[in-house]
Amino acid sequence: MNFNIFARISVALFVMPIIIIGAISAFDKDQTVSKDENRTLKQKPEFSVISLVSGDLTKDFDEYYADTFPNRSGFMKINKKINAFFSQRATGSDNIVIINRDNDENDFKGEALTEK
Amino acid sequence: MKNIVLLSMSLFFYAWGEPRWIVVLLLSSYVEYLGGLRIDKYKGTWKAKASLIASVVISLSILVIFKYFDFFASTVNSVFKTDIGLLRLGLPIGISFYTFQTITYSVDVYRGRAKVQKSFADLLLYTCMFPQLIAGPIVRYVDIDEQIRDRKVNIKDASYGVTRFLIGLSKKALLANFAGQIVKELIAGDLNKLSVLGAWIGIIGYSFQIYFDFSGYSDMAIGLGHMFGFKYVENFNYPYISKSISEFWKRWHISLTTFFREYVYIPLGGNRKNHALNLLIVWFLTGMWHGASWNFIIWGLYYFVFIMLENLFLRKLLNKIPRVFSRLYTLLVVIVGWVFFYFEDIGKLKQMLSIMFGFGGIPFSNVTDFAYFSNRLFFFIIAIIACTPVARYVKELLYKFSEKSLRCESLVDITNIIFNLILLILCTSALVGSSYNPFLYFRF
Repeated sequence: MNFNIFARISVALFVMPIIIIGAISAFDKDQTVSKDENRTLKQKPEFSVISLVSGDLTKDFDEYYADTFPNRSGFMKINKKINAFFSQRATGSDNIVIINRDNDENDFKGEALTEK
Repeated sequence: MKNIVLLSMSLFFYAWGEPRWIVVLLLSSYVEYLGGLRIDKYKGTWKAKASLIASVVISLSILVIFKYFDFFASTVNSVFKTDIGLLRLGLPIGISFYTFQTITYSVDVYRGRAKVQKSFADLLLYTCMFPQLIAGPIVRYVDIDEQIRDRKVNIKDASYGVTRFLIGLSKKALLANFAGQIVKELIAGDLNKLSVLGAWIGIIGYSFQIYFDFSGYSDMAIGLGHMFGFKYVENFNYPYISKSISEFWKRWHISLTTFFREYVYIPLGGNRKNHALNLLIVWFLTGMWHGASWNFIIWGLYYFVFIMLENLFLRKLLNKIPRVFSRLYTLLVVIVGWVFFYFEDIGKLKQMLSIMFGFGGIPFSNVTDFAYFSNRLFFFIIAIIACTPVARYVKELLYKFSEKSLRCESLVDITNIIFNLILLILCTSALVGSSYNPFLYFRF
């Protein structure tokens, strides 16, 4: 009996977010531009039989769905944290790699970063 | 009825990703459906065997044309200097999986192991059930025959399914995708600047990627199956802790090795007649199944060699030495094996192997590669832990704890729910935030 209540909650907490996010996604106003990424976001694709059969329609729809996902910037912030945790990029910038300079063996000694 | 809903969802799901070639899926299933009816009708006569051969040949021909025609044609072209035109058809998603599934149906009806399915809709459901349609497991018809006819969806199974699905999704979205970035950044392009360390980190990254990707999809399939009342057979069992190559192949892509054993190896004579030859054929086909390219065939034959060595004397040796060494041996063989799997270009393959083993004066390490690796240490540690049954032991401990009292049970259940929620949020973030979501098994 006890287990069944928690089992129900478990399933509900999986199914409900999917339905709710889907509903919000369907009815909210789509963002057109992403400031963080400095690009325009994909808009709802036009339906045509050709695009349906070729597969372009579904591909475009997937992109559109991802680009206009509710609270997209919030999720992207979390994603950045995940990436930062896995790759230890402490500065937050994607192009800088921190090298431990206490260890002599890894010190530059005047050599270029990319050899050959 | 439940089956109609599931079938419609599955067909819609498949058509979403592959609107053009859904007809191939339908055709393949229909051929096997007719084949099954005829085999049953003419049971005991030569007509039954003829129907079996006909339906298997037709299904395999469809697979061969889509998957291997261009490969055969270009090989013939380069050897005999001919100019056979390539079809460039593109591969219908999942064709390797559903073709094998339909074959298990016909063969098992013929062998009397499975009851013939008189409803095309139900057989189609078996073929195209969306959880396992794209990336397996290769579900044998006998394993779910009863479940199609009669299954109960209960909330306990659904709850287990949710957890299992989320674990699979996490393996894919969190671990496999990140490993894939490592692969892309280290070994996907130019290999000339790579050090020995860099090459090994790259291929170890790929070893993680392919495992988490594939076993993640299997977890998701099994989880989704549970939510609909289906109990699929396990497809992966912590393969990277294996102590021998023979053991590895009992833990990796179990449904594929089961298929080849039941439907190719044993019919050919197994270990009773032409043992070595049967193994050679099976491993050649296993390699080929993975891709229409010579590197996959080499990969299959590579494992043939080690299986033979183990059968002959190596396994006895492995049983005598401490387990840690047999595990290291297995990991080494498997990781080097992935080099053959990953590099389709034979030139690059050779270059990669020579870098990995330090030929040509390649330095062991350089500043960038070492920094790259040390920055990602957390990932590698988590990935290694995720390859071991640590999580399963934890789960068993929790299960024992939950048996103590109702309150303990509730605590464990609540922990499970919170864990699921965290995974759901992390996975959503990873999928929404990432444009890099490689689907490694599109070639099937």
